[in-house]
Amino acid sequence: MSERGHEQHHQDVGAYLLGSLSEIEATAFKQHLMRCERCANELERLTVAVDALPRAVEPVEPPPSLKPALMQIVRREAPAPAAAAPAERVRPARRSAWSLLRLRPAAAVMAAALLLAAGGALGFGLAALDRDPDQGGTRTLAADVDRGRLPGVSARLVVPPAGRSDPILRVEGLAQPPKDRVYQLWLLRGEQPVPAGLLAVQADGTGRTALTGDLTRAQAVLVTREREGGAPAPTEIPLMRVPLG
Amino acid sequence: MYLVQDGNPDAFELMYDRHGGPAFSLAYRMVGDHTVAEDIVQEAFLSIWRSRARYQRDRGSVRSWVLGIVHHRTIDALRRNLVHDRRRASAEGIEERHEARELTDVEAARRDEARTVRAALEGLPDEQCRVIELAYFGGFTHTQIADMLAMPVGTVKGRMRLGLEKMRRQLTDVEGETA
Repeated sequence: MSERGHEQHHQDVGAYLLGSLSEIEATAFKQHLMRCERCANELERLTVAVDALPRAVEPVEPPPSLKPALMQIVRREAPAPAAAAPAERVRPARRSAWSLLRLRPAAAVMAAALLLAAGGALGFGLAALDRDPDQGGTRTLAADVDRGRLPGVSARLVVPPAGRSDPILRVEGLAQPPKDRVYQLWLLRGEQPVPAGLLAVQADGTGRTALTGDLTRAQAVLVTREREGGAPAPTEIPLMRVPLG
Repeated sequence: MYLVQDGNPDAFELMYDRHGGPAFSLAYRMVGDHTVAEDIVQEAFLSIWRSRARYQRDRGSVRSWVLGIVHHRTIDALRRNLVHDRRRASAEGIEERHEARELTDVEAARRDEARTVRAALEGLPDEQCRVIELAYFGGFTHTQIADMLAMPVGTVKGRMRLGLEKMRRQLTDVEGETA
């Protein structure tokens, strides 16, 4: 690229990034970019600033009508292949043996620790048989919910192929926790439950959250109710459990 | 994002939950009208859904990609004069704001981030801050800005570039300090 060509377009970098060039000018600048390493480098450097600009905006609540209208179209247009029909592949969760446990609060913490450490030798083992056997792309795994404490609640974990993106836990029919409590997720690795995020529940009882942490070597995803802000270790018997393998 | 690219509507819904608020906030900041902003954001997200295969992780974050599309769509709307009467008002500030009701941890973090970016923007010399705001949030072309501010086009472009360079340095310094 000649110096003259570079000088002619150099000042356009900022205007291009801010979207203030006309269509014709923007096209010419894009062509120049393919030939001018200096301008391409400058563009890359200044992108940081432009990407930050929308974050300077005060948050404004979107109208409630926006999401349902959008999702209605999206769901209508969604492909219906085998790999993208999680609802159809969810098998009904079997009532687990651990849901039959009825312990006094004082014993609950100890029992939870024992259950977690043992890998759920009671109903958890049975629940694992309910896993979707799909070995291909995305898997949808039904959660085993403690029906005694959470009647009418269902949950499923959508697991993308390894390393592609975070698994998503979806719940329905779940009451919001008391003010000073939260629903906390855990990954059970060996004997160690590892915090995996918090689950926010909407007023309509639905909730979705992406798990933080790697599912590799994890046997299950657990949900407990903990104090606000979360706990370093579970303090109660899990409310629900998704066996992973 | 891979689930979205696979055509999973649940994953797309989650993506909307994460980025819909900032997207609407940006569109509303630019057009100053709830109904128009709603239309723009819906169109933008549908365009994202329909062109989901085009997202490339190595080209930047999902947030930047989504907001970039919303920004372009809003500029298109502004230049089609869909919100002609609102343009100057939106470039000069927001008269009506409906702030998010609930301040969750995520929202609190976003507000902190917003303060940092605003500080970087408002810390620029007035003439640089003004041209950047008019271009990015007002959707004006550099020639329109030159007319409005009665200055040569080259000066407007130069101020944009210098302003962005200063912002970049300031934001990078802040990130370095907090790392």
